[in-house]
Amino acid sequence: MIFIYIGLALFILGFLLILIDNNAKNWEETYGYIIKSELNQSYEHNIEEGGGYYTYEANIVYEYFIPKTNHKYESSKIFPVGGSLRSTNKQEHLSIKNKLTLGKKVIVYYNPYNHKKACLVVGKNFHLKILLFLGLTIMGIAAGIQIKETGQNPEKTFIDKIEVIK
Amino acid sequence: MPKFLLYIIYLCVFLSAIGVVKNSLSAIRKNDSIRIMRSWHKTKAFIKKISLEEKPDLSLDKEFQDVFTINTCDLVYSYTFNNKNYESSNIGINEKDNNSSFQGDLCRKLSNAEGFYIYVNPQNPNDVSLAHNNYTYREIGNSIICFSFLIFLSYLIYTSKKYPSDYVANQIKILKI
Repeated sequence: MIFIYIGLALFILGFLLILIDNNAKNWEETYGYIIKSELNQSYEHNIEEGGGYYTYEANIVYEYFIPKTNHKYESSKIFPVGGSLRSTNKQEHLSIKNKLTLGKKVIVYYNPYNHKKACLVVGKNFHLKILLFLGLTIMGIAAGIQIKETGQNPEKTFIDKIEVIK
Repeated sequence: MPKFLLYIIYLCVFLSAIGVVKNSLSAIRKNDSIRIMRSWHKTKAFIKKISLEEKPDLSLDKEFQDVFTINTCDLVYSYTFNNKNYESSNIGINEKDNNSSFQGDLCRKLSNAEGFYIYVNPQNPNDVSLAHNNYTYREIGNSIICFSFLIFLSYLIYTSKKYPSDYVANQIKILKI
């Protein structure tokens, strides 16, 4: 039963994050410059099975300017929500790093109520949808197991159903 | 997504799809027999003989048959259907579920009873069952589990096709200096 709640929690979290991501389409637009562009690679050890695998992350930092105020901020976020995009997909991070070379001028979206919050892409974080589907899947599997357990003891169910005449 | 991972996902999708179809068909088949059984006539049966006996387990090798015995509920009952009297020892449960502990529990439940209700097949009154079988839970549960996997894995494949590796990079807008 607990897994149904875990699945539900993931589903709701995914839904809320997608809403926030979409809501960021209303953020203000400005420009910024790439001041750091690296591809970080780290080796994840698999202690149980031995060996391991590499994960990658495009480490991008940009500074952006808020019009009228002339304030300058820095950010490393690509999407408005979600933390690190670290994954085993080297190509994805390499293409980001190759596109955002040092000094490139980019469009930056910033939160008009909190200028420190900014990103480079709004409303297109497809990684969040995986969270939604993962929640649904966990709920489905948990519900399936629950239903299976109901029919786990057919002999007992059969005996319980016999109507005795005293 | 690496190609080998995609092939594994394809294989899992295929296996999940087989699981959904197999379990759904099994549930439908069983549901059909349950539905047919619902039309069976409920009638009273009276116990003529009931005793719990220990018998050799014939499914084992000869030297173990007398060591590991099984309980058998020796039940005989009579009933009347369409003004004709019948006698039966049928229980009406699958053989695989009809194990030693089931036989013991059945005898304990019926030992102090005068009789019980049975369900008679109107087409063949010798065909009876002590209760309606309702075993589709397992198949329905398995179908839901396989279907959940199928949806998730299909979504992963859809994502890998719709969002190629350079998708995020392509969404970033560059301005000419």
